[in-house]
Amino acid sequence: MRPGLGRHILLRLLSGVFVLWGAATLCFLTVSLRGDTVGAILGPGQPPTPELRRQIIAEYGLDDPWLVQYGRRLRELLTGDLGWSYQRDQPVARLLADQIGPTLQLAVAAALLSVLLAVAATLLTAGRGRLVRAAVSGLELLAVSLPNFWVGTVLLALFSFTFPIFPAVGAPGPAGLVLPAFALALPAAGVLAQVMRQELETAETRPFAVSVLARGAGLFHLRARHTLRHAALPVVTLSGWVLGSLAGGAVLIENIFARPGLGRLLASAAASRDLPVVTAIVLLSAAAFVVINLVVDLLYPLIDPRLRAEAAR
Amino acid sequence: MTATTFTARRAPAAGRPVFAAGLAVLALALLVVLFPALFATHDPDATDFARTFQPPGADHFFGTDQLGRDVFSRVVYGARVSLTIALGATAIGVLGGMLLGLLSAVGGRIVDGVLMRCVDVLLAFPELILALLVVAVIGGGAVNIAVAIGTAAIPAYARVVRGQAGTVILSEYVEAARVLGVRRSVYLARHVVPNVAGPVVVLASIGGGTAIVTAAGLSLLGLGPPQPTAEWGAMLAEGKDLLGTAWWIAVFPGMTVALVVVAFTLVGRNLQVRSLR
Amino acid sequence: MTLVQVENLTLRFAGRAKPAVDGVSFEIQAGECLALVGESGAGKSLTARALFGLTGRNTEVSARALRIDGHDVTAFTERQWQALRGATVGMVLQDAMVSLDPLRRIGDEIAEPIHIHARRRGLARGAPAGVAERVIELLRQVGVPDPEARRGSYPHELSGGLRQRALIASALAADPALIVADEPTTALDVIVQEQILRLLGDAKAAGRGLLLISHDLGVVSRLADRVAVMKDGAIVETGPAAALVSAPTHPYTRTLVDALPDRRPADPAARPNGTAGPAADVKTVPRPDGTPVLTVTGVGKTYGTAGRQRRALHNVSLTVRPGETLGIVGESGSGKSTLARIALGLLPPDEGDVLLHGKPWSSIPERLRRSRRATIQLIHQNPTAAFDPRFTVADIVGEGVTERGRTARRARITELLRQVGLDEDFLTRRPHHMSGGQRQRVAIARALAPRPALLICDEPVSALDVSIQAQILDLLADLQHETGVAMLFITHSLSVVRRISHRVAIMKDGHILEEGPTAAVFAAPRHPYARQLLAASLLPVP
Repeated sequence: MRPGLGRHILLRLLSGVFVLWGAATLCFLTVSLRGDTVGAILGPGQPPTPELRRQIIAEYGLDDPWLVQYGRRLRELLTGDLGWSYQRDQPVARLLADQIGPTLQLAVAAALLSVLLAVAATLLTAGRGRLVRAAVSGLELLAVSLPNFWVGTVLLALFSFTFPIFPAVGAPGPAGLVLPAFALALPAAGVLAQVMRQELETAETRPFAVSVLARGAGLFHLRARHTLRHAALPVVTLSGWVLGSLAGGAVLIENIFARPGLGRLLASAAASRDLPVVTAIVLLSAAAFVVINLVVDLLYPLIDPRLRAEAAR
Repeated sequence: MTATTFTARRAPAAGRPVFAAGLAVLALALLVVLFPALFATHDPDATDFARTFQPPGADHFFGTDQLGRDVFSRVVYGARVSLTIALGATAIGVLGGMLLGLLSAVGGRIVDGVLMRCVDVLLAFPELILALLVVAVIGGGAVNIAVAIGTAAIPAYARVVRGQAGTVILSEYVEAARVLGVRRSVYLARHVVPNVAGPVVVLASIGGGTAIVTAAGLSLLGLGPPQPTAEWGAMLAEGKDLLGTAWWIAVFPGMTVALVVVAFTLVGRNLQVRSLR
Repeated sequence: MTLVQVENLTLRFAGRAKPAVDGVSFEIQAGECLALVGESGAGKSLTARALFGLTGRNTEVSARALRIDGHDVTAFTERQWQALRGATVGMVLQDAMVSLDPLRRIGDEIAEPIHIHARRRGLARGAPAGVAERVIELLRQVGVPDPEARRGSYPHELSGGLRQRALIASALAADPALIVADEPTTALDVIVQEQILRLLGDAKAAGRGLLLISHDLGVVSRLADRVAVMKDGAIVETGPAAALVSAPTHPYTRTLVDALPDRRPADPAARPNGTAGPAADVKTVPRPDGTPVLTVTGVGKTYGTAGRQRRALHNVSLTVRPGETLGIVGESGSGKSTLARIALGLLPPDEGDVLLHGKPWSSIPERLRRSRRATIQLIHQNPTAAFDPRFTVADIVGEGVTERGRTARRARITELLRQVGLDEDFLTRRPHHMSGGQRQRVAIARALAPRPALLICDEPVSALDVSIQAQILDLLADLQHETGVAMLFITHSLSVVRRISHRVAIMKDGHILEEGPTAAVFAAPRHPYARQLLAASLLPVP
């Protein structure tokens, strides 16, 4: 390993930690901004008696100085204590643990599906005639801009009600995963396909591709050995964005398909202003983003040798 | 110099007719927002229990819902709410982003460092999730979700503005202006701001589409304007539980959202391609 | 033996009436070098690619005869072409940084044609034996030191010259009878250019045919046996290299030859004044008396932060007097542009001092400099980047105009445009609808607007075609004659600097190695590097 590489990794780690600290701070600030914490804890209903109010203030340490509360919150987060849900009267950590499984399933399925769709679309259409390209870029445009919750709705109407191929809402198991994963994957697939296709075509107009063809290579050889690798580069850098798109999309898709999961939990917590739950899920998504970007950052030089020199610097 | 002669032509942007179609849809949407009464066939809030769940037909283009309300007229009146939220959100995002981005680009290393680290933190949240956090703090409703969506979009715009402004400030034409003795405040106003604003406006026309989707999404989750306001996302939310009986209640509002978003994206992409020429 | 026979080759982009290559005919024998010379867009590269069947999808190619190494290729299928490419014809493109796959090791790139053709002939499944040895042998042949280690390098890890050698090795790998080299030296510094040309000369000496393509008549005439001059898709003149340069018949060839600022010293007929004669373009006589416009004393500049520093300038001193042109020549990275930025007061020097008209310039704050900025103006290499993309010509030139009032300003702008040879019609035009030469004229007009005493020209013609270069240099010389403006002229091209400067300074690695009157430096360079530089750009390849 090059001497500079360790430093590079350390710097990346530090900046990841910084982002997480920033996210935690932001969440803490929003909770403070919310104001009437006691009201939020008790939820809608009759106004609290002064006695109850005092009791809650004491229990949550709400009359401590701001900095003390902030320090306590950070300490809690570091020890994995995500707080207590106001509304569900449970530890937030347990709520998340219960709900994370289905969401992960959905997200992983959608991520794989989007890459698969994008690669297929790219290989089938790159460098083809005008009509094929126009049709495909039209489809990509639709995939990118159609709201995924509407796609989900139409899929449900078609394949669960009109032609009952797939189970309707709330079904467990792989069959129940198909429609929501597809609806969730579509926008990401559209973006990835556009980027890959453009990158592949750009790579194939570069002088090095001419060099390869002038050596006697055919199109298959050119793609397999050279240009597909170039096309994969931007896709890797988009991983963080794909994660964001899937995380945001999951909130809506889980609702449409009435699936259990973090997205649905987040939506209902936001509606009832259950801030410990909201901030925990928000933090979790930020942490996932940081981790994905960290991994991409560290792996990238392995795919692109040009960056090895830079990374070691 | 010579190698480029052989490059295949770049993927053509969608041609003129498609661009025109996109503009036409947006113009129509604007008319609907301004004069809904011209388009609506019924009172959007009038219930008629004798005519619930009517399928789409000559009388009710998009059918009727569980309360016998005309879905088409509700979609028409919903445009005003949905599009105003989206436009308000986009305006907040663009103005906030311009302000922060320019400040970062001209404010020196410390200001830039602090602002961009904040932006880094905010960009770690998916936009919809950040918007949900804001809603959880300030509560739901039309104005609040516009603020939430707009705030969530600020970091992305700020990043673009800062990058663009940085490029322009280091560009040779700004250098040429400096060599001519043009003051900083003058070249900022004359060269930097206009050359940053162009790409940002283009970006905003795509962002406008995203804002519509996000707004409808938040309404779908029940965080939008309260019942019985006609709003596209809220209509979709009501309809999605009735898909088995009356698919049209959910499908048509969603289709309208899709249409407007596609139009925004088409126009925005075309502007982008045009501005690169 | 005739390797290539092309007769009446015509090539048209789909949907265009005018052919891009129009009735081109030529032959190449084994062991012969034919050069195709012409400006960008003349159709040289398309012609070359027709020999590979790689003209692209949107083209129609027709020819009365197109024979390569005995094959009639006019009816070749794609598979037949693939068998020909690499094995019979090898291609060397301009810049190996982009012509080699940046994600692969150069050893793999060089081995690629061997693998492809072994597989095609069905000789071997998997890797043919001895490929590694062959790659090392090829690298040694093209003069790459330490080939065993270097074959594991990526293109970006090598210098421009080594990269280009690797690219040539990959073209030679499957032992083709013909090498097509498309601007093989254009991206390289003069001395490296020379080495690469020698290497191609070796390939020729080994009995291969060579089709050399360049925009630079000076470069090709040193290697080519015959030269064909192309313009607008057609060959306008063909002939033996020496004859064509010494006695061009077609007017276009003559402009190319005239634009060659230096004929071969070995050819006294071409330089009646002798090699040390003054350049024809310098019209003014500088006044050695009077305060220098610009005085640079002991200037040093270091980039980067502690631990990773790069010294861009070392103790640089020079003066520019009224009405004179000081040319600064150096290769990329020699510190020329840093010097320009420091002279302009855009970059503070770390050491030393810059005086303008004898008064402090680099040491004062920008606020005080601003009122005197009119004195010293800049012309960029790439005018397109130097114009606000939203501005019209009138806006661009107007930014430098100091007159007040609408009519006065307009009159001054029109006058400036006239001075640079553009008429009033240009006022409302936008630069991206203009030619490169016209754009550079607009840039010059803007620089002249505040009536400067000194123009800093940073490679002002290197982005232009040769014939346009000559026009712009003439214009600058005329303007100097009219206005008495002094110039600091920065370039990598010895021929350009010789044509325009009264005095020359040669820069390398941030040092000024040699400085003196142009004629004296060119006639008798003292510093070894200066001698090497002059030799590389003037002498024919043996």
